[in-house]
Amino acid sequence: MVQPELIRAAQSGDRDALITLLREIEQYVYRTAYYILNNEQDALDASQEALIRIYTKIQSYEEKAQFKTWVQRIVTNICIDKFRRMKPTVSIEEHNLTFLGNESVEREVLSSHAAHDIREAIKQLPEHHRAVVVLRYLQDFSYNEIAESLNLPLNTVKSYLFRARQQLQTMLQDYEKGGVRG
Amino acid sequence: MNCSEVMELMQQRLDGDINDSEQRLLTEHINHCPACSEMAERLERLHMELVQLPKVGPKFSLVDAIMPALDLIERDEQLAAVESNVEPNPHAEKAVSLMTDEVPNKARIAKEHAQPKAAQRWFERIRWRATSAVIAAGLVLGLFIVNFKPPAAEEAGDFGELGKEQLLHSEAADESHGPQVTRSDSSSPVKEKPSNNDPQNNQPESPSYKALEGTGNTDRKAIEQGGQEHKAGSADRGSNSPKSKANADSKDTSSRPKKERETVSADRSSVKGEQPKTELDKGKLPVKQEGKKEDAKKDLAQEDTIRNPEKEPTKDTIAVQNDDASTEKKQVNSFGPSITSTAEATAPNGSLMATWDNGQLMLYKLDGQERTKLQTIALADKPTELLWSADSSKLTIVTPAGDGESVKLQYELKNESLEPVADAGNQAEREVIEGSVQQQQ
Repeated sequence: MVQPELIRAAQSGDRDALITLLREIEQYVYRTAYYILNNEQDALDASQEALIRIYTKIQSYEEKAQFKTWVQRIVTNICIDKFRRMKPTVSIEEHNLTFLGNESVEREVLSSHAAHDIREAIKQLPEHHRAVVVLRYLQDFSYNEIAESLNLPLNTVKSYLFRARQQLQTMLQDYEKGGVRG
Repeated sequence: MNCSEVMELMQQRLDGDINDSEQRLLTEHINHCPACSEMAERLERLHMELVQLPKVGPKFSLVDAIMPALDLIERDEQLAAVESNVEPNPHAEKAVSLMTDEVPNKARIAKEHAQPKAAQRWFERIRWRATSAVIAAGLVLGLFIVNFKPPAAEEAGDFGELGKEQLLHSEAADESHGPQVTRSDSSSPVKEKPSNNDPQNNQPESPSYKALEGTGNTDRKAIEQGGQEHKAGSADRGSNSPKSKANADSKDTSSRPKKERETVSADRSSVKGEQPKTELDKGKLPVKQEGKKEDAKKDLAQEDTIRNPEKEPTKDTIAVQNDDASTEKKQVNSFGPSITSTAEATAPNGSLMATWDNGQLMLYKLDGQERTKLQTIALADKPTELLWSADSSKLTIVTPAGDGESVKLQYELKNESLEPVADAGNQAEREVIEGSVQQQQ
């Protein structure tokens, strides 16, 4: 949690404060980018772009919003733009093939999905559903914070989140079945 | 309560967004609905897995990575603050828009970024002006150099070659400063000749060799020999008859006169018996050139080493070969580049120098690098040749007289001043050192 004093100092032109602030938030920015883009290099690019944008736009932040949601709005916007530009959609069928084999055995044993499977499943979600899930689970945001970050109505956030979980659950179940069959 | 409503409650429960009554309804439904029970279990497991997703972080400091970009932005903003009244240019706005889109104060930021750019452009314009001024000056100077031909130069070959030679010349000029000091080989021409490949010859002068390389040996020789006296009677001489060489060379060299003129060094070689020829060559080449060229030619014929600056040292051999051994002294002095449209010649003994500059013939006494003016003689026409006799007691001045003719004036040195001699006879001419005129552009 970034201290309000630090934010105010940064906004008043204290460059060192601004740099310190960026250092405090960089891991959160990166984490969101990483889970939305599901690719390390893209995540690095997007999060650096986001940090630069925060640096240049710090004056435009207003305290009526939470700083962390303001930051997440910037990074998710960049990621969604980036994602739209680069993302060729991959069908779930194609993915089923990649989950045959040893991993399914492990899953049965551990009675748990590999983190890899979950990331793959998240990747299949529509972009806003994905952003909601990431903010909910990787940033530990509440419905309201997610709504603030994504500039969406609260009910929309809830419905996105519920639908996303249901889809994820279905996808993972499919993976399991695929594994059993294999 | 149907299953879909229960599903909603299950979801809310995952987020802690459920009250007691809802919780009771949910539990009740799950207890008697296996499908919903299983779904609840699955969602719970998914939820736990999502919560446990690794909280990844960047493997290096992103802030450090973007610091250069931030510094750049900072600098731009400071510049913008200084020059706040410069109008933004569209280019800058475009560049900045990447970072500023969706921002209310986009315009402001864009403007801030634009200002430094505008300032930068202003600097660029200034630079451009300065550069073009320099180029223009260079062109004017170049035109002057190319177009200005001292009388003796009129037969010069094509301009392209001139340009080349001038280039080389200028290099030579730079490097031939203070040649008198550097003259280090004392070897007589005889000795030097065989030593072409001798490293000993690669001495302080080697840079000038390099510079001159390709221009012909004459220039090199001139530089090399400056300030150095070769004892007369060296074995070199005998090999070629000056006349035949001179004739042969004059063809080769007809295109090179400029080069010679351009040489910064003042060359002096005493060649006896060449004088007649110099007259023939007048208007083509300064006398000295012939002498040099002979040598050059000889060198070329004798050594491939000419191309190799380091091996070349022998140029000293170039020492003029005269039929008359007794008068042979060759001395070449090189000076720094001198002003356009001057001619100068240093006496063989190195103590005197005659120069013509803008209608005046001046006699200088040389003492090391210093020179003292001894006498000034009015001489309207620019001499094509300034020739010192071998013993430095006489100076012959050849000036153009129109119609391709030339007039020869001879002066005798008495008490450090020049006095005209009525008749410049053949004998005197023979004693004149060839190649002593230095005309520079």
